[in-house]
Amino acid sequence: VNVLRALLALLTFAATLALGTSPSAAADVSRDPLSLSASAVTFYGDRYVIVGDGNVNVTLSDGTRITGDTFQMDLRLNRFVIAGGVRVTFGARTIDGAAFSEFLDFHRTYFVPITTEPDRWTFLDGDFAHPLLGREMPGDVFALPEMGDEHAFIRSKRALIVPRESVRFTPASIDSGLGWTPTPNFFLNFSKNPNFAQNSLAGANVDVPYPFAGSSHLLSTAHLRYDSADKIFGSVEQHLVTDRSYVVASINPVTRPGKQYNLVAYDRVSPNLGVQLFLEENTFQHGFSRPYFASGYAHAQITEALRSSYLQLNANAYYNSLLANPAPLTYYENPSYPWTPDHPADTSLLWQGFDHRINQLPIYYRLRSGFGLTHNSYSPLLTLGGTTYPTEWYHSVGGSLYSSPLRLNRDKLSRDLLLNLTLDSQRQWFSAPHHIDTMSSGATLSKAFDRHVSAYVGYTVTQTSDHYGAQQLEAYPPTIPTSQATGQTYPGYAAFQGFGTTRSLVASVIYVPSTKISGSLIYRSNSDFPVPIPEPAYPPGPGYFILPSPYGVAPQLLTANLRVRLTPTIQLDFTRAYAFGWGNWHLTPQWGFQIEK
Amino acid sequence: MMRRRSWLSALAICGALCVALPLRVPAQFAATPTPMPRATLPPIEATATPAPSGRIIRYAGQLLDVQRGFAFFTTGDGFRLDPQVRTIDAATGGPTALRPVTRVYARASFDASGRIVELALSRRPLPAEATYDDIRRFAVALSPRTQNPDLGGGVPGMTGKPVQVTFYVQVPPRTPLYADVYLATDVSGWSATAIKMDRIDALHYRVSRDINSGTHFFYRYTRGSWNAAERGRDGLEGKPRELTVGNGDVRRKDDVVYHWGDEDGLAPDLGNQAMPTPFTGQPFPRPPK
Repeated sequence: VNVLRALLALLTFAATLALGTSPSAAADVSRDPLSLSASAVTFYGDRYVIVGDGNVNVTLSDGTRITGDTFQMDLRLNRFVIAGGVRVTFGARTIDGAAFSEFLDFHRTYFVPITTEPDRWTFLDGDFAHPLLGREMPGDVFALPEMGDEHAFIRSKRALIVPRESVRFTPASIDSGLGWTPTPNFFLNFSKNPNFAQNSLAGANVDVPYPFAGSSHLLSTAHLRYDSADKIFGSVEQHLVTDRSYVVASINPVTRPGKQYNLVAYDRVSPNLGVQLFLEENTFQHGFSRPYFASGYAHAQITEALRSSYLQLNANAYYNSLLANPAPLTYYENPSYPWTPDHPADTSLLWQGFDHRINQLPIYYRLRSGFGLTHNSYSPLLTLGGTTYPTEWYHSVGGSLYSSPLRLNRDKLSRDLLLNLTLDSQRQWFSAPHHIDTMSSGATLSKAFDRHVSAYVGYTVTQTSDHYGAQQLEAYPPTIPTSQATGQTYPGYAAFQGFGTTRSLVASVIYVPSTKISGSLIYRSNSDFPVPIPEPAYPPGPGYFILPSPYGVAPQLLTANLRVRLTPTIQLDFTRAYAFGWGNWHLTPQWGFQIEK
Repeated sequence: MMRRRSWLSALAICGALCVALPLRVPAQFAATPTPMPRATLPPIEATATPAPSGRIIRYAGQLLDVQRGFAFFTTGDGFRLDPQVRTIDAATGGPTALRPVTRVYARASFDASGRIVELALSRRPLPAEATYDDIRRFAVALSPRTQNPDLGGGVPGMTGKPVQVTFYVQVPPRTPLYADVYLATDVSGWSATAIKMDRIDALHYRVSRDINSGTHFFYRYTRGSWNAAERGRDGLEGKPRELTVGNGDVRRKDDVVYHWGDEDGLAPDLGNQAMPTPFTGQPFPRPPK
């Protein structure tokens, strides 16, 4: 445990050092921060506009101070206006005026001073000592867009604005949906860098993030979360980010004994080389005391781009019990946490080719191959004919073949009937005497009836076969399983000898009356061998849904989806699904409801 | 405080003048109907042409500031206030509690000399009457206007009108038939599930959005999480895609995703039967007994 934590700390420290010396941290004039204070500072989340009213005081990074009655900044356009009784102070000089506007991206400042009479001054590149007199200004230079009924998300008194990156509101009252929640501060990150959105937290049903600190490369976020197992709990997450790399670490939940420590890291070392790392540690501990139980997982991926293909090295290591052997007991604290000495590992090297077109045909292919090994010294991977295999080497060859949409008829209004064909095949050989073949083929017919309605029908067949030759029945002895969820037995499994087939028919109709509303109806019929077996979700208990995985999928599934966009940033997403013929659950309604912001 | 007091004084003077000194009405306008009460206002005619001597031009806009005898509109121009300027309610034409301050909308009445003789105030935008070109010559500025090279060059401006942008993306051929694909953008805070797309055939997804012209934004395709975000043809995480929306009525954007971040190049593609444990050489999990 200590070794893993030390590794996490070391990585975080190294990343911090790396980020601190990153070239992207170089100063950019348009990203110099400006501080704002006012009687009321309001942030409108839908428009990404900050408004300051009353006793506005803005200080630029060069010390220039502007006061006035009103401040308004469009964070996306990256420009702001100060209007009403404006006073600009730079150095020892003070000038009064009516309005002040700064176009940060263009390094242009426009000012309406009032000396004996009004005038128009333009400053270039922040040089307030040398105004250009009378210069024409853009027509909307002092525009103050009406906020009207726009929804305010944050109310504050002070804001530190880093253009194109972030705003720190201090203090901040946040509209939590239930009312205004006072907080010491709120760090709003709106960087164009998607690495700030990388997530290392495990899933939850509800997540309310509270970013409380940050900078150009850092983001600290507390999360209030809910899931059915832990109910309401808190989590923390830390981002360290550059344009080409990131390190994201989290503790989830931080307020419950069952904790998960995660770290995700990626670095584009060079234009052709990328390195990715994922570390996970699961513990059971009160607070941060010595854990009763701990397990870990590590994954590393190195990708090297070649001229028309790439190589990818993947390595996985599992540590089922990180703590010392609890002998003479066989478990930690209680039998729920057994001692498991296994630490299986696997490594593989993949070669993946680019897509190529076959002559001038509308058919494309991509090839792949690779080799690797998997190892578990404590629990042999396979026992066959009295021989155990703690290590298995394997190599594989595979490829995909697919067509671009093929027109089956011509329509003047582009309502063509289109056909798509896909085929994927792979063979994987092992050092143990068997090989696995996988073949997946599919065909899809699609048609757009008009601008609003389109539909498709698809059929896929996936065949997986695990070949042992004369030892086939030894590897797959006839079994009649019983579902733990339903108590139903499945005698058909007696015929299963390692050769499985999944057939799926999918039909979908999509209706898009406008860009704000869309709906779809998807029917999926599956015919699997061996048949799917419903199993209870983990952890088992009353009220838990029946999960199809990993023993197949529901034979018939009907899903309806309606999406309504209320504002540019808020969308309601309703999903209702019915599963038919699924064990004793002939009808399993599932409701989904999501607000995206 | 001084400014507030001076405005209170100005309002009081204006009010007193309105009652005591009705403005003289030129004879040629005496029969012209206007929306304003004739007893308190001169007949005013909105016009789109330069005002001949004696006419009054009304221009509506948003105030930036009113101070030192000048009213400033969001065009950045300052206009001289007549010492006897009146302030009224734009809707009723009567007295108003509104003050001519920043953000308030005003309809300014210019006399022939270019002074504002009346400010009709409102909290809501007022309908346009005279154009900016009609009153521009009344703007007061110490320095003569000079050309701005930043504004030249003939670069067509963006009108900001909503443009229907449709994204079409081709996904990798091994993408499961039931996979959801999303568009994540910087505008939506890079939420991995920001905009759900509709599958239209085996390899393509589509979604349309109204986006204002001139909008420049960044985006990426995901399968609902950043762990399953798109990868480049070379298997590496690339820079986000970007798009600038032009002034057309519609825009179509075609993209290709070559790989997903969570795709396992070597493991058999078993869909929902994929094993959650390290690959053991057994493609089928043991059934329950």
